[in-house]
Amino acid sequence: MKFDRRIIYLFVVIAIALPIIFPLNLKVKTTKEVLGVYDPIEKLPEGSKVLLVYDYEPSSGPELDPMASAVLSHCFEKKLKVVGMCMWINTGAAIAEKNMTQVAKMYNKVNGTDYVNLGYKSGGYAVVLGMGDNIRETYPMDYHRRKLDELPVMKGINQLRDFDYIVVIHDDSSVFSWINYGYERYPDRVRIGTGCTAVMATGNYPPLQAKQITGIIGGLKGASEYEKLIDYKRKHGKSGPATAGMDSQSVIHMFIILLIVLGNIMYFTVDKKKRNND
Amino acid sequence: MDFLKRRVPTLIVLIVGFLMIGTFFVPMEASEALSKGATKWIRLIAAFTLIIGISSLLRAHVRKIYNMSAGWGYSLTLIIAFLTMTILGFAKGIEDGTYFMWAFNNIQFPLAATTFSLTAFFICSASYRAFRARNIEATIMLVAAIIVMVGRIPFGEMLTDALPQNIKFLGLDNMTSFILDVFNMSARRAVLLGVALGGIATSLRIILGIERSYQGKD
Repeated sequence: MKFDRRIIYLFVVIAIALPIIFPLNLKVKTTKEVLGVYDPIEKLPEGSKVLLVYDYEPSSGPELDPMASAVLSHCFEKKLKVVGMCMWINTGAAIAEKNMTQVAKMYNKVNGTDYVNLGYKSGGYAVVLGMGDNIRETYPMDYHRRKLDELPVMKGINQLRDFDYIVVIHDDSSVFSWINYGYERYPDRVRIGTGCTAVMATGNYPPLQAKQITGIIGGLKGASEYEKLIDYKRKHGKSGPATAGMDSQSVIHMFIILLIVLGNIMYFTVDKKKRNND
Repeated sequence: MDFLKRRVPTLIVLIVGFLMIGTFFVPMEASEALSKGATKWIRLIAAFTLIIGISSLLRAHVRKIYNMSAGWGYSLTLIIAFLTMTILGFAKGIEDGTYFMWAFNNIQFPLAATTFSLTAFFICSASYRAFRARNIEATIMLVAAIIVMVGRIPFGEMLTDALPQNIKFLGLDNMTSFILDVFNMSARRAVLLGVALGGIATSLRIILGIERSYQGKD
């Protein structure tokens, strides 16, 4: 049985909008995959260096921006030095600039001293290889066209192995470049965690099981778990963007399941009779 | 002519290919220097491919506008948007607080996010029309998808939260983890191994000059 798909669209709008207007405040449970990213950062001493890779398009922003903000907030709270960059998706440079500026304002962090955005560099995996040898040769200047030697945040960071932890947030498979050409070259020093869209998360389980990465933050759910771990609500007086979005995601997931069940009931009853008559 | 067009590129690929493989296995200063030099070249070449990509994109759309082909208005929009962002970036910079970042934050970002968000409507519509338990394979996939979909949301976790400790493994979150950790991971690993083996085979074919489609038809 067919009916106007616009009716479905209308229910989708309602299912997404209602939980935003009237929050359900559903409780989020943390998983071992997300703890695999949180714990290594939590254990880092003050002043440690973290590389945050923003390899995603603006289209994935609503799903991945809250994740990047949560990880960055955690780093700033722990007084870590953060270096942002991208190498597969060139719009990631502007996303990094936007995200880092926003979060840095919340924690009164100074660009160049506490964090820096290196911007985009073409070459894909060759960028990882280049950074493994010499970061200053690969990125002579940052996004603001300042020489890296002039930036206090870059003090002591010359090669990839100088970073204490790397978080790759991506909506493609760029984390595999970091695994193949970063972790595999310096397995004793390079530790990687990843954050990705929910549809990409399943592809990151093999390197997780092989301990090539320490953890996965998968989609908005993973980001909401991270917000819970850093106690976002208590510190900022409101739910984080990912936690707020989880109510809508819960309702829309249930709505999709309802549609699947309904579609199958129709298929095995009404449509079957029609097929038999034909 | 054939010598320059076919044999020389094949020879270059053969020599460079084996040299680059060698740099990974020979821990000598000379091979490390060669590897470093090669990565610089790759980055340089990648930058030039960006120029080629932009020029071919612009040429295709200018041609469409010139011929007034169907949808030429979209091509015009693309060129205007491209030129505007380029001029803004070069003239006033790309840092936070510039016109470039304003356009990125208020036009490009919301437009891209909105377009991508439309998939929610299509997924819902398709889930009603196409996701059928037509046979055993489809039914297995359907059940697994439903478990993962419910298990990955707080509501699903709440549903089976009250289960007694001895049957906690039947909780939706635990079943989701089991599906992702076991079935998903083993299938993904098989795919990855297949891709890796395929990559090695194709690379060897290119290095040895068996596969030469990259040299073009002429």
